[in-house]
Amino acid sequence: MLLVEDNPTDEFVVKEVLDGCGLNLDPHVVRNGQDALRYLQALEQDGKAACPALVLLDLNLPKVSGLEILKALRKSLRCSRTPVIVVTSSSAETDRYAAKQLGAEGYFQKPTDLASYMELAELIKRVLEIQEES
Amino acid sequence: MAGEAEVRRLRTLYQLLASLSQARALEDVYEAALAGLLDATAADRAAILLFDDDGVIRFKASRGLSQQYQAAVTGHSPWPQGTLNASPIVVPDVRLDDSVAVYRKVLGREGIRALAFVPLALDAGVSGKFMLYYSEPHEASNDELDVAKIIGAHVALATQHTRNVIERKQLEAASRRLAAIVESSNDAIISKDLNGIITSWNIGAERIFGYTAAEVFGKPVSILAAPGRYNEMPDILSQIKRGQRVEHYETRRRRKDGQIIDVALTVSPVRDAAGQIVGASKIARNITALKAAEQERAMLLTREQEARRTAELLNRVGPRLASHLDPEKLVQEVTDIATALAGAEFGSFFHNVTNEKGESQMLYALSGLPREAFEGLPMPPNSGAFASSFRGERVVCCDDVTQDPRYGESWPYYGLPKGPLPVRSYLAAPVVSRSGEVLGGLFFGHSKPARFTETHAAIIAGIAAQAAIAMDNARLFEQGQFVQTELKRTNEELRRVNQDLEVFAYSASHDLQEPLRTIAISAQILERSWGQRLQGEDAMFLGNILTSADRMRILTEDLLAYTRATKYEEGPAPHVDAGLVLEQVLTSLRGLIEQAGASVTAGELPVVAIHESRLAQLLQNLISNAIKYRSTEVPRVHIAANQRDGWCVFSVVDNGIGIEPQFAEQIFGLFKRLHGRDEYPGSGIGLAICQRVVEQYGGRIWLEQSAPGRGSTFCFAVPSRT
Repeated sequence: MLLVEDNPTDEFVVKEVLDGCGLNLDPHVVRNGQDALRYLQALEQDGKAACPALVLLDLNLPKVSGLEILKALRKSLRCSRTPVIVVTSSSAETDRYAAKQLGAEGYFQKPTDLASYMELAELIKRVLEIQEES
Repeated sequence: MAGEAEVRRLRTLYQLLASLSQARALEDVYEAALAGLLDATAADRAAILLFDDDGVIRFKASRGLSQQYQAAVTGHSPWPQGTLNASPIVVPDVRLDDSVAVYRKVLGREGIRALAFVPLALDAGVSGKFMLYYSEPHEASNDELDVAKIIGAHVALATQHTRNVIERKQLEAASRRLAAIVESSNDAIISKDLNGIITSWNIGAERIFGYTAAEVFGKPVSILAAPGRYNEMPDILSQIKRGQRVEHYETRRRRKDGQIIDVALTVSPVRDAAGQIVGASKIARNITALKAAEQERAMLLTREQEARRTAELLNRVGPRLASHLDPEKLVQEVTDIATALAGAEFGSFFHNVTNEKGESQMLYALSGLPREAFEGLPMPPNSGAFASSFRGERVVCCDDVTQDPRYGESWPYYGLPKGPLPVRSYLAAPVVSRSGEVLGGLFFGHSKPARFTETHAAIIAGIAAQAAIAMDNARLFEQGQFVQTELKRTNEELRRVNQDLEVFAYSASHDLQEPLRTIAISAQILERSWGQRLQGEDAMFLGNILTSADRMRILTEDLLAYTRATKYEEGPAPHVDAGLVLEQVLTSLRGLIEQAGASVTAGELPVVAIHESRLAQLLQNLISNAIKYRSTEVPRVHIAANQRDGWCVFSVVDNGIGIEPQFAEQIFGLFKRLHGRDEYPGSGIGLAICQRVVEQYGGRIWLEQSAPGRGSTFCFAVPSRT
């Protein structure tokens, strides 16, 4: 799976969340938008590589915004159906709406306390279940 | 016997002649004749009958006949009137003569036995008859008849003569009456012969023409002729000679003193007894006064028509001017219209404008000439002198500037350039605004002198007034436009500011919160790992990091809320039902209300002019404060509203801990709190936000009353429903 996140503290916590899920997902971490795009392009061209099972996408990234990456992903041929959960500190309705329009399967607002952060695990499980069913 | 009879006859005739010569009236003639007849014949009764104008023969005189008899035989004549060479008729015995059978009874009663009819005639034939009556049968002899005939002839002559005398007397009387009329007439009645020589001259003529009768008799009528009309009189005379009448001919004549008068003439031919035209009779009436009155009336009528036309023109001009709101176009239109209406060859309009820098400039519009013709136009002096030169004058009008010493000296006598433009007639009017400010001046010129009449001056004064109003309106409109533009600009800036705020709020929410979140999370991770092992102060320090981060987060959120509160709601404030808004607020505060066990009541709340979200913000803040700062009693909050002068004053009354009066102002400050963080939660931003909100609507929020332990009453005023 892919984790697009520039804040190391958030990276640390998300990895903890994933461990706690029991899903055994080892995320590939990309720190900025440009790198994310390059990664996706590489995926596009490498017919043999598998698409990620899940993308956790931060919106507020340097160089290229998360929404741009989501757009690019959805436009791509191979991995356009990859489930994406937007994990962001933004509470703006516009971001939530845009993410939904671009087909994000989930939207998680990063909390300020650890306990609430664990709720992300529930969201991830739910999204993956839906994905498996379809 | 014959001799005696002869003598007697002659004597009778002589007597008759004498009597006839003394006769003054016809009656005298008849009496003389009757006396003669009776004297010279054997008749014992006699009568004279004459044909009247109606052709009936009637008794004119008689002796010895009764009225009845006369009445019975009136109209009977053996000869019709006018018969020539009639002979006498003798009836010796009425009883035996059938020709009088009809009258036998009448004659019998009268005692007449014999008659003789003697015709009276002159050249014109039978004009009457003599009657001789005998009481005994008698055949009138030839002598008798001769005498009667002779008497008859004399009577006829005498009658004619007397008639002539009477006629002549009547004519004389008529002629005298006519003369009196002529004399007394106010009109001049003049007669002249066919050579035009004056033959009669009445008092009226003396009065009208000034000459006495003595002065004009024998003079030709041409002495009365007015200059330029010398041909008239011969013309009139020739018409008269043809027998034509000249009626109501208006012309002019010259009086003795040389004055020329207007007269109306009627000239008729005068004929003699034979019908020949022998002269002319002229009636002349002095109509000078009449003509003068007519001219006056015509002039007044013209003036009235002109005035009406002017008013119509001005009425049409008004709307045309009013339809122009563009000042430049308006000024040009004014100049063009005014130049046309003044009948000027060229016109100009100078007007004062203040540019953006507040400097005054003189601009002008021209009409009738190309701009080049006005090159080197001397501008009027600055507005002060310009205005003062028009002071007190409505319109300046000059018939010939070359003759006027004031021209060229100072304004407004210098409205048009000298040089190639030949200006002689000059007209100028100030255009004065309703406030009294001189907006400018209209100037017109013409190359011919005295072209501008009073009417023109009136028209121009009218246009100047209209132009002033139109210019005022155009200025107001311009100002209105300016205000509108300003308003638009301000609104756009507002939108920009709001947008900036939005962007700031968004970035604040992100960029400010992000590091705070990281601090908090990091501290929590540390606490999880090391919390147990930290001792004493170190644990406190870690704790500080957490609490401070959290506080910072809250402060940032509050600051965001405050910033959002300063954002202007766009658009005019709608009408919102405060009651409904309160219900919504109470719903969202349900948790807090239930938790505190508070009782919230409200009175009738009206409709107000404030955006719904803002009103909700106010109520939410105040009500949550009222509950938060509760005392040990069950918290009770009451909301009421009171309308006053277009404002609605809401009050939120609680029974909480109250506030000391010296802090009444402070509590509205940003982040100002009267209590520690651990006593009551909150960052102290609620009331500050409320203040910003009400200020946007021109309202106010204040602490109406409070005392420690006695609760508080907060009030805020917002506009009522408009």
